[in-house]
Amino acid sequence: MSLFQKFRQLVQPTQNEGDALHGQLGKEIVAYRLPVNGEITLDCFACHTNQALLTGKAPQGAHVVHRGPYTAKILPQADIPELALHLQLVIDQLDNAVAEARFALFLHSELIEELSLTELTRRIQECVNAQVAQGYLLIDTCPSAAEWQEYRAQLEKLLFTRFGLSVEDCLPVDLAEQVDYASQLIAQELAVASAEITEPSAQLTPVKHSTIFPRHLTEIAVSRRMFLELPALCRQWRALAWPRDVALFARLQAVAQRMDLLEARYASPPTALQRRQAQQLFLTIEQAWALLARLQLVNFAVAEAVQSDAHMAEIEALCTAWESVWQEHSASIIAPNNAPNNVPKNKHRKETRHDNDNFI
Amino acid sequence: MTISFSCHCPLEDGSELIIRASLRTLHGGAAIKCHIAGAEQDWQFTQQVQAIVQLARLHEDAMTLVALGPSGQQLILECNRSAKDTTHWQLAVILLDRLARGTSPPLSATWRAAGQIDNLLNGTCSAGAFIQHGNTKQPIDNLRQLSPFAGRALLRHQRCYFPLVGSGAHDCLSWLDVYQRPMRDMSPHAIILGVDAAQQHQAQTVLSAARSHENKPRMPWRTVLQFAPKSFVGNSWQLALVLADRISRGRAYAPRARLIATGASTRWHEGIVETVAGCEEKTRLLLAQLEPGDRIILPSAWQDTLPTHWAQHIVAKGASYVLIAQLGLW
Repeated sequence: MSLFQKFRQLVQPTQNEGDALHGQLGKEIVAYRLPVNGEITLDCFACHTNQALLTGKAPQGAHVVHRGPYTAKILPQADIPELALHLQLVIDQLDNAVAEARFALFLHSELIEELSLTELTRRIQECVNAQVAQGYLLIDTCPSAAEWQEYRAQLEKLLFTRFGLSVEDCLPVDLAEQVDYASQLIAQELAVASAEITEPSAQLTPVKHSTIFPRHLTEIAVSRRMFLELPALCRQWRALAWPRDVALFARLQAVAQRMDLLEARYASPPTALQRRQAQQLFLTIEQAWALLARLQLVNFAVAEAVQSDAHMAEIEALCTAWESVWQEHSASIIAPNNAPNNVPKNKHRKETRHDNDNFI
Repeated sequence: MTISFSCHCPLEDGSELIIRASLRTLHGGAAIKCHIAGAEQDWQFTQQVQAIVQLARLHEDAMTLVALGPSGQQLILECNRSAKDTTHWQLAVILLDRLARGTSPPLSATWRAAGQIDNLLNGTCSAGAFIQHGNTKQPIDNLRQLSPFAGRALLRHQRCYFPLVGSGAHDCLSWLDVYQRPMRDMSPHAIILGVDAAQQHQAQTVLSAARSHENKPRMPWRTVLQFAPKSFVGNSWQLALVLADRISRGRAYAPRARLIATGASTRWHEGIVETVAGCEEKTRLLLAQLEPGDRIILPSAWQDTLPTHWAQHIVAKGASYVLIAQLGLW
């Protein structure tokens, strides 16, 4: 039995539904799973698994994607609800094959049937707020032009690395006319005082903590993300231009070996993750993409040794987390019943990442 | 007939301070008056009393405020002597303020209270703080316990430093604190503590001019501004005030560590930041007193007069600075 066999059974949208979605494509809908015999129009493209774009007739299970531009409004910091960022995003089709692949990987690995602009905005908001909660991606008081550019570069890199989105435009906007922070606080205060449960407003609601694990996310979905995203992550990590330093080189080699091993281990996705383990994997993989985005901006040629050390330590910590989850997991499944587990394990090993039919 | 309350406040040295509070209709003048009965007035002490009552009022939760209704009354506090060397009377005056403005408890019983406020921002009181009514003694560790409701005020606060320079011997970084409490029916004026009437007037003008620059129809905040207890002349604290006001209202991004600003303006309503005197002394002072993470904001007119390598020294110390000519969106 394939681990992901159940995903195959997902109902494909019918032709009519597909038409309705197609009308919204590029506006409210960013991407959706192409219906059977669906056609790709000129302004769209298809992407399939984590591979490059396809033109013409797309295979079954491909997503049809409109490149945009899309407009998203996010609140970079939770306690400043009156100042938002206005982002114009595109999914680059031709310029950059890497972005293409990352966006496709995002759709594929997080098993998104239909990606609405609202959902995408929510995910961007979560990702940015998580970074802010960890002390990165902060805006200084009265930023100078140079500081603003630096901030913008970091944000662009993050969205590119995490979602494969290119930021075409990024502007601060004042929401003073729509949002009133004082009123929000008063409402909050009264709600606490009268112990009423208020419904969260449908408007922009920033996420305060980086440790939010989406309730709807299943353990299998997390396991799938590890399986699909780890190779892409490791590949880009290896491509970083680390400084030429003897001590660092040894650590780099060690990390590279650990990554190889991790990739191999998660290539047979953990089948019976506990909730806590899944949570840890989810948080660490999110952290890993953000870390990668930060490291890609570091100029290692001029970076101080201490800094490179710290970055290396961050990567090592992530590796350690993944190793420990894997070990815990394998110990828990091998210990109770040895024999029956061998069969599916062997079968998993045969699956390759590009063996599409097994996932869709 | 006015109802008055009195409270005995045992101090650390064993003596007792007796404070009486009453309310009367406010016909102009200060919302809180404090005087010492039958003795020479001690302005320093009475100012301290006024300040603590004003700051403690920010902690009143929304339900209490609704219950109290609009305030058009003046609180009169009468002490039997001065007690400026201690702060253990703080809880007593806060209690009296609430009693006088709130619903009336039994008149006959005596109140006793002592304790000081440790943290103005979240309202925690010092160890051993208590209030006693008749024979019932209740320890107090947070001002919240004085309220009949469970709510809690969502106070916002920002401190901003500004360099004070003069002859050299007393050069220092002074500060001002801005406390903001969201409130629907706020007074258009901020409550300003710790400076003389002329400075209060100036601060009031700066605040309203700078706020009018913002594209915001209403400002439902009650603002309390407190200056550090250091006397000064001049106007270079204006930028510090404007920034602290904006940050505490969530209209600008907060600094990671200390925020230090110097600058003034005659055109705050246009958001323009003008130069101030003392560039050389102030930059020297900043460099000497800098801590890692500090954010320094200077008027852009200083661009050409900054000492050579000053910028590099600032960055080397882990701080950052920016020169601004105008208040931007952020």
